[in-house]
Amino acid sequence: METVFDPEGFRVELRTWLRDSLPGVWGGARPPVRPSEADDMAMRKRFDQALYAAGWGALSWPVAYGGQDAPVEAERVLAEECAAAAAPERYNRIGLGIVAPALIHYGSATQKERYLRPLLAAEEIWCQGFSEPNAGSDLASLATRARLVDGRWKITGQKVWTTLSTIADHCFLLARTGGPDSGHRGITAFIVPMDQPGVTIRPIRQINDSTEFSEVFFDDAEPADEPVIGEVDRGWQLAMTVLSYERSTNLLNRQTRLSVTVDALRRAVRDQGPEAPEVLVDDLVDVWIRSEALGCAVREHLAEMADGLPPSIGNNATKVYWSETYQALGDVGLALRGITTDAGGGLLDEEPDWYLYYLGSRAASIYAGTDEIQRNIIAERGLGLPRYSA
Amino acid sequence: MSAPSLDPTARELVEALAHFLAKEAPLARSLQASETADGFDRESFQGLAELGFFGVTSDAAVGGLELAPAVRGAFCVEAGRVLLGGPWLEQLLAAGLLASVAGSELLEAVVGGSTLVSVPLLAESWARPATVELAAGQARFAGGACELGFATAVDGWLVPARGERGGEVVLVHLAADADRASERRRWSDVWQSHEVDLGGAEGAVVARLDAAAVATHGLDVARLLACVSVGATEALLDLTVDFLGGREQFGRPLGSFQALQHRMADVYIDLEHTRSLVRAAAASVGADDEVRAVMAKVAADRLGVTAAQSALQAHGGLGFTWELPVHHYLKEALRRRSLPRPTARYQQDLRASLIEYRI
Repeated sequence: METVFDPEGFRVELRTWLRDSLPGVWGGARPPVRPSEADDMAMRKRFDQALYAAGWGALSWPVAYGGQDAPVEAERVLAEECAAAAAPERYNRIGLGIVAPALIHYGSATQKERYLRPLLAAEEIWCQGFSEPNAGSDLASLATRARLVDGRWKITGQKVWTTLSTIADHCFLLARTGGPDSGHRGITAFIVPMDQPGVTIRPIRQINDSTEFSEVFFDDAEPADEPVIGEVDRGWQLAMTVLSYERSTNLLNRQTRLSVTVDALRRAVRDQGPEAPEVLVDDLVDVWIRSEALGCAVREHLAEMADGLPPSIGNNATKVYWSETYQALGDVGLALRGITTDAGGGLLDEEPDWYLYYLGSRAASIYAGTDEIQRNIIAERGLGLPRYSA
Repeated sequence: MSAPSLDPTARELVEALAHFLAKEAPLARSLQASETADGFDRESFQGLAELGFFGVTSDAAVGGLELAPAVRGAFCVEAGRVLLGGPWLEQLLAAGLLASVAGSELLEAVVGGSTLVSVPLLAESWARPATVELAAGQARFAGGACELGFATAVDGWLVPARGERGGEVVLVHLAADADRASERRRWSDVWQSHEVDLGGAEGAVVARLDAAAVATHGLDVARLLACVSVGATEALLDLTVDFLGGREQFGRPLGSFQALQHRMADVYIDLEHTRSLVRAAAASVGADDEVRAVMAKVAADRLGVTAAQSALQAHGGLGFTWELPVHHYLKEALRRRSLPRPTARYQQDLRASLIEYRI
């Protein structure tokens, strides 16, 4: 990549590459309907590998770790073109979104050397062991214990809603190393191999019949050599920092995907214009406005990032705005699908499967910090309102 | 709050304007001035002119700053923060309307603030302008009427009209004439307007506008009003958060109750995204990016009213009274929502463009 980044030149190059590469990634023509979960995962994996081979797996990472040291603008172009070309989403997304930033910012030289390249190449898949049955929104109360036995760490406890755990090679796990009441001051970030006797995975059937996430039980599980990322008892700050960066980069992908789906629904409604009930068209207009506003906000957040500023509270607001827009889109898409035309057909028989889209979108206001937690953060840290315990 | 895309010079100007408005034209001053004969504070109006407010995008040859449209938008955000009174938006729009006229002395006087002019804000006056007889660059109104802000305090009026045989819209410069103006029932506490009887009025034709120019003028009004809504909501949210942090009930600050915290967070979330959309819209002028301008207006109108309602609720009984300024924000949001066309008309436009997929 040139020293002066040329976004439009990159866009043209990328578009050609996507056109040439995607048939191989899809394993044929562009998938006409929503693929099965297994097919989707296979496509995602091939896409991660193709991006890695092209050198575009992590544009804004430092060159030393397989990135291009490209400006954030490049990530935006990539996200937009991938969304427009119906490219699969990223396979190793937990690794890319959370683990890699943690390693880059807090990991040792050995850890970076050992883990970053296989992560980027999708040779090693990561999951994230944060949430527990009794520590969801109240993450700092997590109870999974890590203790030193003869100089080796042993981990015991239960994690839940662990995305990608069934295929993961490593878990980026938060465990308690301080006393039971040490709160956020006694938490450490570990690397734990998933393929070992001490780890048991039990998939959970989700609302949409997917089993994308699982319960994971750790029973004297043994972490990797040099297993601690950052310092012992300092994992909370690390996790919060990494999550705030993840939020801002994820929002870019989420917003561009949403925008492409809104455009597709607008086209479908235009084609069936006279048949679409006005009340639903008005709902779609609202979603369309929100989608535009979301795009403008994400561009401003990226500009802040490009200026080297830490993620602002605006990113928390955008998480809520995005999840509400996504859910509203699912609602209007599903409602439009139920309309039959005078000709006897359905208004929206095409992809995506709006029922599954609707159901899947219900998770958006819960994961990545519930919308209520985001509102608490906005009120207390953004607006400076007094804490409830005051 | 200045937009991140503004360059440092523009940012400095916006900050200077914010400082000036906070000091010389706070809401209290506008309210006080609205009780005077003029209805607004001439001194701070002149101060605005000196800061380049009315000529922000005008050519340097007429005394303008030649800055990007985004800066004009940022200026309007600041005016919105203090709910600035007086015919400032009219004066700003007049400068825009006259921009295409080469060597206009009137434009120079408008930019410099030595001549105050009012223009009709309602799109209706532009879509169906009054009829005039045209002769030798002069126009005589056959009849008709329009609503003009501060019609009796300003020096002149710029009124759109159309010749008897149709054709382009012409902009007629009339000297203000108090006998033609009757004050309308006032709902706003910082803006007054008059119903102006145009029958028989005579003035010079100062500009000609084709259909596109008329349409884009309406879009510019919409963009600037959206900016005002953003500024007003920023200020109102600050004010409400301060109130909630200070007032105690049940032995603790109201702002520590989650029901109110989340209500304020929702205002912030809406503000944050509407602001981004409005900033993007305000970076364009004329017909460019028409859909975004319309979206910005719809979103900003909604933000202005819902945020004011939330603020009113958060203030409890005090919010329903003249003890506190909250009600002014609600009233101004309602006024902006009706200008230059009712929001519902813009929503209809968006529905039509979605179905026809014109964009």
